[in-house]
Amino acid sequence: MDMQLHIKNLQIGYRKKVIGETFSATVSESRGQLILLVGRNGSGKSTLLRTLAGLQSELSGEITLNGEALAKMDTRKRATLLSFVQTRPPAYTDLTVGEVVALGAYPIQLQSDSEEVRSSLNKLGVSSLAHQRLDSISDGERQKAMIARALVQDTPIILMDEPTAFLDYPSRIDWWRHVAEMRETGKLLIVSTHDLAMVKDVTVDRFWLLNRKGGFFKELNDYDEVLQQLISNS
Amino acid sequence: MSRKPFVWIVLLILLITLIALELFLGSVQLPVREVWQSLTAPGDNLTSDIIVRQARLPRALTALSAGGGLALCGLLMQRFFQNPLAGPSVLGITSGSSLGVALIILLGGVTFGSYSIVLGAFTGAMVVLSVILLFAGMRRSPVTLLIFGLMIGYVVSAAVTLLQAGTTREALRSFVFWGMGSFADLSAGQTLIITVTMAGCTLIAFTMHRQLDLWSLGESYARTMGLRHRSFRFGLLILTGILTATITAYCGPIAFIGLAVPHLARGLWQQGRHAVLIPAVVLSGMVIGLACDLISRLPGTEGGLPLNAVTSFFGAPVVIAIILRGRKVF
Repeated sequence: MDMQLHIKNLQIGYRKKVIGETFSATVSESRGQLILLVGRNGSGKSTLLRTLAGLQSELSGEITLNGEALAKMDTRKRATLLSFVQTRPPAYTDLTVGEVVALGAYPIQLQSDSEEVRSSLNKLGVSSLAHQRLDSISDGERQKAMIARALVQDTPIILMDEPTAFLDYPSRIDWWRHVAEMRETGKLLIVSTHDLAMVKDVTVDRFWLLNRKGGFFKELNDYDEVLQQLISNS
Repeated sequence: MSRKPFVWIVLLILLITLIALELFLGSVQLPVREVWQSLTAPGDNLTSDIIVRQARLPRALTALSAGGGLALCGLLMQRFFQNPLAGPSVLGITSGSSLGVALIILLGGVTFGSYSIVLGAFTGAMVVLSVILLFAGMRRSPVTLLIFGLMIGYVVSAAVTLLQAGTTREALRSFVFWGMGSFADLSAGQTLIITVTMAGCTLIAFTMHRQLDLWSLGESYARTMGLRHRSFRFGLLILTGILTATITAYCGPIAFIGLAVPHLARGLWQQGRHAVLIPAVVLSGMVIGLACDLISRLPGTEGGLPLNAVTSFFGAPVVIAIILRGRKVF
């Protein structure tokens, strides 16, 4: 699906507290892409992702999707274009994994044993957990369930905020393999991460580097340059 | 509908049995045949008609409607605040209603049954709900919210005490009696208001079952999955406010049913989908409401036990169990 994402003179922040400086960026390619959002703790990665997800407002500037301002878009329409995977998966729900994944199709009602749900769970290798309560499985399994839910939501853009933060080493390897597969299916993935050692062998289309000093937003293509800039800014 | 159909059957049998006990038991002994006749073909025996149709039947309907309604309020509030300790009585919502009623009765000299009491109870409930909502946005911890709710309850109680100090003896007596909670002495019209409000709110809540499922994943997930959160929040708060206020206005500030019953139903049905949870919680609330009412009028208790004492004996251990079990509650 052809997707045009434009960030124009954007100023992010939280409760009127400004983070960094204004910046602009454009993603207009129709093929699948993986954009890694990197930067030190507190550099504004989560705030940028939450702003892109429509969970908090831009302090100034504008984000448009296919020419339509994100801030003015109806919640339901936005959910057909963008899905979001948070750092911490939900821990206090008594729904089963299958029921949570089926909710990805909201407002369409999907059964928890439907083909879409089973296929998404299969892709993430967690189909055996379909009947277990989400709060009874490990953090890593829960995170995979939330990605399966995003696959059912079937949006062209998937935003992920440090999705591997609570995963062990083998699960992280597994995780980045799934991300690469999703990129191959034509999705635009914007993923914030500190996992730079793990992504060395993953095809990353571009890096968005957020810095507190020396220019807030930089778009880079080279892995080594990203590492160098991160170290020089620390 | 559920993985445990026998739970539905047992609860339904229990409900019918408790309704029957409400109708057949009482200080005046009536033969089963007479009670049945008064219900189905009144006119032959005026005394039993009055006892059954004007006292026992409204009381049974009030007990089951108030029990079901408060339990539904508890479920909605626990889900809304993502807090297992939320409930109309614990978070001070019923205290807010009490203050509204106190202002109307103790200052305005209005008698019970008046619609202005419902309005007072609703305004009080909505004011406290709004304050709690504001605080919940700033502090996410369940225990902190609980303590805040308790403090609101104390402040409201202090205000009510001040009002009591400057009122007439009759108004004070009337208010204290109301505060003990009771499903008795309501007219057919008042019973009808509670029953219709409960049934209407249950139906509206049921239409929101998928939104409630989404909300159970947390506000951020719900919003990015397409939930129109502003109308959802507004609808849920108004629903909870109307239901709590209507029941509290007529039956008094009843403790613990709203908090404890949703946990009881979750334990029995082992379900998270609100399409099942809503009817399950309402049915369980009806059963608990009737059971508490029957216990409150056990033989040998002259004039009956205060309803709130009975519901507290049932509900307080549930709260302790929730605190001891910590995170595993939801």
